[in-house]
Amino acid sequence: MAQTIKIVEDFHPYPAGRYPADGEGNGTSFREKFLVPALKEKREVIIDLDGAPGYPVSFLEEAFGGLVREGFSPEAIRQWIEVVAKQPGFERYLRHIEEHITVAEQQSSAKHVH
Amino acid sequence: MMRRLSPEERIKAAAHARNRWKKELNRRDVLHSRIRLEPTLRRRIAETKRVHLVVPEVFGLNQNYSESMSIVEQLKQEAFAKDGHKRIFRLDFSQVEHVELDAFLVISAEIDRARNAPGIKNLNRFSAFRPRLWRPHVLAYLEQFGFFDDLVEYSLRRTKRRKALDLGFATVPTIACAGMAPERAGQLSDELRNVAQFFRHPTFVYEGLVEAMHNTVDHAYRDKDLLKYSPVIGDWWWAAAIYLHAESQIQVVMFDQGAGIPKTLPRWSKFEAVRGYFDGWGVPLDDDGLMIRAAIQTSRTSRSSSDGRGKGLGQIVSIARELDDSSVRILSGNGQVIYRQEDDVEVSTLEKHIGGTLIEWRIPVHRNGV
Repeated sequence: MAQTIKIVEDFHPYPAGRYPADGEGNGTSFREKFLVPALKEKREVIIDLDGAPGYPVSFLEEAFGGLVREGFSPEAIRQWIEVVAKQPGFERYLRHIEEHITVAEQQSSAKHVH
Repeated sequence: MMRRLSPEERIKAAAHARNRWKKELNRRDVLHSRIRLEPTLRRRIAETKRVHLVVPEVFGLNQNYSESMSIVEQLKQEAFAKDGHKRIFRLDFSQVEHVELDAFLVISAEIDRARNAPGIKNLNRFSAFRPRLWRPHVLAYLEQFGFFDDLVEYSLRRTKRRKALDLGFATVPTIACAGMAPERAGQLSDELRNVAQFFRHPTFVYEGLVEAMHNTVDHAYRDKDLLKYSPVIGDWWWAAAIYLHAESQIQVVMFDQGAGIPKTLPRWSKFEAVRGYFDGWGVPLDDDGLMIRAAIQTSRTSRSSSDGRGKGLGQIVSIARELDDSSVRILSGNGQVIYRQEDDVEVSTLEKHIGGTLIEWRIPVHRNGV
């Protein structure tokens, strides 16, 4: 059965920033603590976005776009990680995460071509 | 005929004489002390300058930019005079009829700096000049934002705090903070839901503030050579918010005293993309307003760099695109850009340098819950 991780309860009440220097709620720490192990172990996780004060683009891009930069394929990310949000207005974050993964993949492909 | 005093009367007379003698000794002691100290006192008084700052009738950067910033500039020049004099600034708000949050935040930040910046710390004091003559709504406005809690001395007995809606507004007190502090942004957006119960968009406020904070920490104070006045040590920023009942609107303002977006852009990894906009517009690269506009366009439309960075500026203005009747105004250096809708962008040049970067978000609050 998939593990559910609610960001505000299991990680930090104020997700923000990219790197550890930006504070404890940063995207790199979230990715390393929850997303990377799930992908390496091929374990399903559900990421619940509800309850947060918001998700700055720097946090989401580093957490999810950063997975592609670490070498994980978008297909694997979509297979093992499900992101859910039921709170009104939070559906936009699902679109943003998908964009970050797609753009990171395009950047990665462009780098390899060059 | 003289009468002989009784023993009791003689004791009383002696005690009375002793007290008079003691008083005379004290008087001489005080007099001699004053004579000894007087040259020092005279010198100390001479070393202290009194600076009278008369704030204009309309104190706001939107409606009266030039006069409002003149007072701020006068404050900075005096505070940083470095002539060895201590200064007592007497802030005179007696002419003021209208205060806007943007001007209030800038002057608060400058007072904070004048009291705490290295080299001038403890040289400057600020006091309210004749607050009895100030308009009651102006006094209440300043008081609710915490103006007199730590920044400005206010000797008049405080009036009882009136309910916010009697005055037509409710405030979230000023935050002064150094570095990344997303929890402060979260607390501010939570407070907004307390003062305006129908406010439905606190996530945009949180995200905008955090990305602006990021900008301040990453860029604003990096190059000290670009700063005309020494900042307080650390990456300081100030923020405040107000709910205006009659306008059904929330205003959130954030300010830093850094070099400004136009000055720091050349160090940005996407500067070539910014330059491309200017080539397309056919204008030289020296208009601060257009520099800000180009930076935001680049952030919003160009692909991320290889490390994924560069989207933060775009998120600062995203609420203008996503929420009807909202706007974002950015003043940085000598430039100003106002975003209302996707294609409604106003660019202008400021008469005076703002001394950093100010961002203002105006968001509607619909009392029917929409």
